[in-house]
Amino acid sequence: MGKLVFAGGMSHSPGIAAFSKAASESQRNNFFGAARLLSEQLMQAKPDVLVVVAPDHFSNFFIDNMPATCVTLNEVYPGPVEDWLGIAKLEIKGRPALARSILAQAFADGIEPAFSEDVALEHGVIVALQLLTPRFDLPIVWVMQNCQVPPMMSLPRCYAFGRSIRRAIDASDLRVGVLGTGGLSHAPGAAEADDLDPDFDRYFMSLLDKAAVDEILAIPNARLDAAGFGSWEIRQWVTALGAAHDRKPRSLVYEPIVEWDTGCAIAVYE
Amino acid sequence: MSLFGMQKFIYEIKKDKALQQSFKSDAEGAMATFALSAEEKTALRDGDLVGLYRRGVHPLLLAPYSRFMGISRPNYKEQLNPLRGTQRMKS
Repeated sequence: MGKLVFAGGMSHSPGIAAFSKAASESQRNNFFGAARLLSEQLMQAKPDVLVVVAPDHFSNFFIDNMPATCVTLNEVYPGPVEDWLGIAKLEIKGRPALARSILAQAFADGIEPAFSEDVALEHGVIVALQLLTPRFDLPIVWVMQNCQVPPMMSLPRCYAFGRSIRRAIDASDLRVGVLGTGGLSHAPGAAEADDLDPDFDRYFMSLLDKAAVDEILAIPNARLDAAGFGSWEIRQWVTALGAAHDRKPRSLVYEPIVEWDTGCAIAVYE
Repeated sequence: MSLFGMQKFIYEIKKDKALQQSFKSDAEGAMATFALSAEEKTALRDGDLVGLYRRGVHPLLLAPYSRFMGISRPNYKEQLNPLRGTQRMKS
């Protein structure tokens, strides 16, 4: 019988790695301190594999053929594709058998993700892993969710997909962690890139802390749009929340870090 | 006129080191097989961030394009600042 042994959510701004020192010492220390706490929880859980729910920023998927979500089946993931992150090229092992189980369970549950046996990792996955598993020695399964180009999966659909992922985990013989990574408010590359929305971010984290799932799933698209298109990535937090539906979210940090162009948050679902 | 063509070119140049080199040495040649108007080719060749942004190039393509073109982050922000609030993305 498989087991969900860890779950959480985390921002993954490339600035965390590429220009970490640009942030103030206090904000940086708060964020990295919380990341260490999350990493400790992950290590203590002794997972066999981490399912990373993360978007793709036009590294593997483009508007010529854009899936709403894609379960990736790599034996080995190369990355990062970006040469400016300050992270050396590396390889991380996949767990394609679990990935195939996630895919099959999704189809059985009436959700039909795309799949790929050949993707490369980008900052969306690697920045979080650098903080959680700095030796990159924990195998992963990357579940990509499109959060860059509408239309996108609805929040309730993300939650249902998370529940489906959990069923696949429970039916496996593995100890599995699930991380949703993205958000919170930001608009990378846009004219409003430094215009964060701490009100939205704090509201979202307060809903998480109350485990107010219905309210989270009812957040209107227009509210996310107002927080900047990067906030569309709360879908990853919601998918992870679906997988961890019987756990209690607890926020570990929130810092609006303008120098990283991102409202940066971390939560553990315990 | 093709927003898709401009975005496709940037997507390809992100991934393809050979295309990057050829864009630097022979921009017209590198863009020849893409569906681009003369104005779009000029905007791409000249690093016209404002023009590309106004034409609707996705910010997550414009940012890596700017890195490729050697445009610094402060310069990028300064150029786009007048467009603040004009083209917020909607889901």
